[in-house]
Amino acid sequence: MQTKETQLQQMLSQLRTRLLVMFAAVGIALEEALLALESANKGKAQAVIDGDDLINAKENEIDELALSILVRNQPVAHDLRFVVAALRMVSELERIGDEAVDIATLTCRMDCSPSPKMFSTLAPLVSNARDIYSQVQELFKNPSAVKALELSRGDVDSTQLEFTVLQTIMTELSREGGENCKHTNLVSCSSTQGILIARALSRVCGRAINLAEQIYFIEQGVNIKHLPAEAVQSSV
Amino acid sequence: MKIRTKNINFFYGNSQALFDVNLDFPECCVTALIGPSGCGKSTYLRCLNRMNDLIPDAKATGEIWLDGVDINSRRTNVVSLRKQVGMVFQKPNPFPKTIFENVAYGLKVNGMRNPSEIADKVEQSLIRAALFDEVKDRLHTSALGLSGGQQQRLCIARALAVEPAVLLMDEPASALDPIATQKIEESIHELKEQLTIIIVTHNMQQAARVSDYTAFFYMGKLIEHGETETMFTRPSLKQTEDYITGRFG
Repeated sequence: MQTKETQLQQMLSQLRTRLLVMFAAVGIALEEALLALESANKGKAQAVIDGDDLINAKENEIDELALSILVRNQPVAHDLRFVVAALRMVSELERIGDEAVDIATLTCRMDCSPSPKMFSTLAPLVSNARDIYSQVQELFKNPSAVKALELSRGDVDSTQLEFTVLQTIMTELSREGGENCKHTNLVSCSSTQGILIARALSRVCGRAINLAEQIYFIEQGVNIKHLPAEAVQSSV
Repeated sequence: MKIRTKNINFFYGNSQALFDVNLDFPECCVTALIGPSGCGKSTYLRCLNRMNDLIPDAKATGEIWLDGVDINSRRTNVVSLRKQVGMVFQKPNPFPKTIFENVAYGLKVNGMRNPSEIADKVEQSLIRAALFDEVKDRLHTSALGLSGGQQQRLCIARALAVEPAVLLMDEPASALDPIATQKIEESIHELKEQLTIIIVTHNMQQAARVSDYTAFFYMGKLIEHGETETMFTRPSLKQTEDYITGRFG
């Protein structure tokens, strides 16, 4: 058995470290964007927007490193799966960063603060996005095929949650608008923001689930992306 | 299955080199045998056309069936067997004769006398080995004047001339440059439409490129065998994974 790390192993460790850093950077951007939204803090929101360039730069670095590993070492088996998944994951992470930027941009453009009622409506989706992202981040640190599979099957819950939130907002919009025409603009502005934020949060959940699918692929070598539950069960 | 092997054990004197190897080879497919040096893959390969019979004190046990015929049977004609199961070695070994005579040699040994028939066979074999275009204007010059890659393809053409059903290749491209290696691999790809090919290689990428099935040997034992794509993306055993990813061997 060799004790010294090969060049490939060193490069794979480097790739893993850079992905962990990217997970953390995107996680911070998401959290800051949500805090900025909750506190209507435009300065904090602007910081998230400004920080996106760093996330984009990290994506490029990881892309280059993954390509370099493929060219220099032609990895196979788990190593190959890891590099292929890294290329897919880095793209998902960058897009979660973009969702954080979208939420921050909405916060910056707010002429009307979302009502506390709107926050309470969005709260389950905010909590779900935070929870799924932190779970997938932890899963990448400590990979487990069982947990990855479990997490990846959560997309139905996220979709249902988004639907419920949107339905609540729409009901609120029609009711408030009908009751008091003076407040219609205010309500519709707040509701539009709410809908856009709900959409962004739902996408965060979807992308986090895609990340879980990639972790499963790394561990098991089985691609469960786009597979219906029954097909996943049979492939497992 | 073209070849079936059952409980193959092999001994060099008192030293056992193969332990109960059970492996089958589908017809018109390429199977790569991989594993670290000394794992028994070349020994196993040479069992398949009884090349090991030539080694003093060597003993093989087990069953090898080629098209349902036991090749270790006393009734088996070894010369006829090696005509059916051709072999290409690591180092090109052309005869010190012309290119034409190298390919024609096996035909003549097997009793072919008609010059035009021989010439046709030589041309076909050189075409199948992807060498004809490069040597068609100098067929009657010495084979030793060819490059290493061309010599190796000449050896393939020589093996093909007698129309084997199986071709054994023991690291056929290990001494060749990337262009020559690519030509050999292209030949393998073409030949597998008509032949069953078994190739020993230390080059994991080559095994992944050319073979349909891969068998991993370690310390004389067959550890894992399966479709190449599966073996190189998600092998079942950690030992296989560790070897193909370069963690040992």
